[in-house]
Amino acid sequence: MSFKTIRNWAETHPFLFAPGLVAAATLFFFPGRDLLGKGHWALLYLLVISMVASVAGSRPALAAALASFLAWNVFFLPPYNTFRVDDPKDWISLGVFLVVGVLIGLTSGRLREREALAVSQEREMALLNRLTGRLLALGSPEKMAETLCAEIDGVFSPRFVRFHLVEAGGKRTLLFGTKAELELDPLEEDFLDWVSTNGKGVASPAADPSRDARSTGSRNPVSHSRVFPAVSRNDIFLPVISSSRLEGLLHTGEHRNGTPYTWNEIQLLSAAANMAGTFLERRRLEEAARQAETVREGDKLKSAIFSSVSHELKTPLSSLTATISGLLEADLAWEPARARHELESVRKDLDRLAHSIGSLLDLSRLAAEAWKPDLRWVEPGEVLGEVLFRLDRSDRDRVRVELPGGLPLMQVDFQQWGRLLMHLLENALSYSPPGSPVTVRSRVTEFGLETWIEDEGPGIPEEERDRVFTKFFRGSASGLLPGGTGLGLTIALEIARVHGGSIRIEDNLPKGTRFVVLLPAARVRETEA
Amino acid sequence: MSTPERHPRILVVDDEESIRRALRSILSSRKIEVTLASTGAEGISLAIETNPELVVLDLSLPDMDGLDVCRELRTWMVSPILILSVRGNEADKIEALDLGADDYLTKPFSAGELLARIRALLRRAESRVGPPPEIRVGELAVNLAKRQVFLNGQEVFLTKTEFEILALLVQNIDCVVTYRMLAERLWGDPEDRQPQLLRVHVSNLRKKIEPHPALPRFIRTEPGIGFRFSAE
Repeated sequence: MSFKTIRNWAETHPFLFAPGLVAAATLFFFPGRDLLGKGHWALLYLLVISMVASVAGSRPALAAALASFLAWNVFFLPPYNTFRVDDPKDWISLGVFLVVGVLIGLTSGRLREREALAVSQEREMALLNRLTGRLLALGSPEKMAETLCAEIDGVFSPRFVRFHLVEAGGKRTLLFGTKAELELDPLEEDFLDWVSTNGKGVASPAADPSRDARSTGSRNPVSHSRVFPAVSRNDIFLPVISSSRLEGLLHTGEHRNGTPYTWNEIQLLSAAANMAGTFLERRRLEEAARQAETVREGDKLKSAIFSSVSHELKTPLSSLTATISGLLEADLAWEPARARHELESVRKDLDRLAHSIGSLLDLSRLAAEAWKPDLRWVEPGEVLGEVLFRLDRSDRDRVRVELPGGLPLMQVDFQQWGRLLMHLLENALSYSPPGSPVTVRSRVTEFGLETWIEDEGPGIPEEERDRVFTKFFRGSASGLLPGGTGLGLTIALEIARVHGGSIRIEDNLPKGTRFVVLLPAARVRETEA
Repeated sequence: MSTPERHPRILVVDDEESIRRALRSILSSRKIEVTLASTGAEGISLAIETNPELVVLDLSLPDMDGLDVCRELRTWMVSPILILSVRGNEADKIEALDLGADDYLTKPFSAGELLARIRALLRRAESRVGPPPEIRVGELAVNLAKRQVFLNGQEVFLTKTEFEILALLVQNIDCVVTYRMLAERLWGDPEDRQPQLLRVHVSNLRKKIEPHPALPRFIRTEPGIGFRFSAE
């Protein structure tokens, strides 16, 4: 048993502690009764009274003063073992002892109480400060409830804390609870219902609230017995209220040592509950704002898709219609070389159509957030090989591949990673002079596996680098080029993201752009021997 | 490449008229006899009637599941089945291959791709009767009888597993070889698919026979399904 546990016991059982300590001291002093003069023992009893005062406060100290007075009288003032006192001067000593003992008890006890008050106020301020800080940083209501319950548990040592979330329709869910294994309290639901309907807390405080009731007004919790007569409990039910509605319910069990809560403690719990209410409301409002923003974004996106679709689908369609109807004209003699040439352009238009439709499908997946990569371990060259295989012969001849031997395996979705490379390659091929090389390299860094796609085009100005990844953005250099949905890089970046990776843009010196795709180290593994 | 003396008979089962028309035009202009069916039931009865040398089967049919047609045909027919499917429907492809389909083609495809698949499947069906002892692809020569492999005239030494994989791949040149087929060949158990282990062997094999192992040209990956030895 440590000193601390004794002290805790003393604090919680002051009126056992005060006479107990005096009795113990008397037992201890008794064998040495004849070693000191009777007056010296009075001084030692004063020491005991001060100890009680400093540990348990003024009222137990008064009890200790009284007990010491009796003990000194009975055991140390002759004749022993009786209240009778022979020497009349001892009566004066006794009187002075009692007065001094009471004064010491009162004074040091008050000091101790002030200190305890200061400590508890500081503790409460610290709790509120911590809560404010944490609630600002927290994301989910679950995390908030967990933090709140942990703080309350740390400061008040209740038997349990539970946080119930109340939805707009009044539906209640337990968001977090410490000591959740506690048997369900048969009256808990009734109290929760009562608090929900009345918007008032239920608590039976130790101190009388009537003194400063006016400062808190009608929000004061009512006592348990006023809700259900014949019920006497020490736990606290508090409504968690925001400016707009009831957000939740906070149920705090009684102190672990069984003492009732003080009025101040209940006030503090209410403040914490209100803070939680504000947090929940703020989160709801933010969520609503975000949804509105998403809807607005969606509208913008829709009109952008509309214009892109009409352009990207209609252009090849009209040229197809023109070419084919031209070939079908009755007066045209089918000259094989010319027909072949025309059909070649038909095929190109069809490729462009298929490509645009593919991008739009990717985009709809993007919008639906349906990119769930099907991860498998593959070699970098396998994916790149498939992508190159799909390119036009003339484009393929422009691509230089410089993959070193011994590259690690990548954990990617084969198809999606292929589309990522395809979009970057197509971008590089179309934004650089015809016939100029596009180089693909790979290297391992401490962050993972990097794939570089380098072209010798005009480069991307610093200020456009972030924007090239936004939907339908087409860079200043794209004015020269036909086609392109403005979606390729957006899709590529999204694919990199769902793999936990990223894409950045660098200058390819002396000329051109370098796209660097990073696949994080967690998705990279050395090949088995 | 085509065999001018004999005109192969191909049955096309697809519910979309435009696809049927396109396939008929592509195939009949190359002296292939084409029979067209628009439903699964029609496809099965035409297969019985005409005994085609190859069936092109679309997986989405109005009256029955393409997979069921595949299963039904495989109960008696040995001719290869080429599946047509849309992108991303990998599970269906794998199931069709497991049910006995021989290869697949993802829509949209070009005439060139379709013809290459059909030729590869017909060639394979023919070579099953009398497989050649040696297969040459570009600078690579695989002697199946002597179990020797040469690259540019230099002998390449392969482990037993690597040789078995390569042998199966070149015997099915330009056709898909599934993990299941490899598992059956290597371990005698088609259910013992170990894609990860197979990948390691294939990776080692590539290092020995590919001109640029980092960018494989011969052994190409069919994601989630298996490999394909490309003669291109």
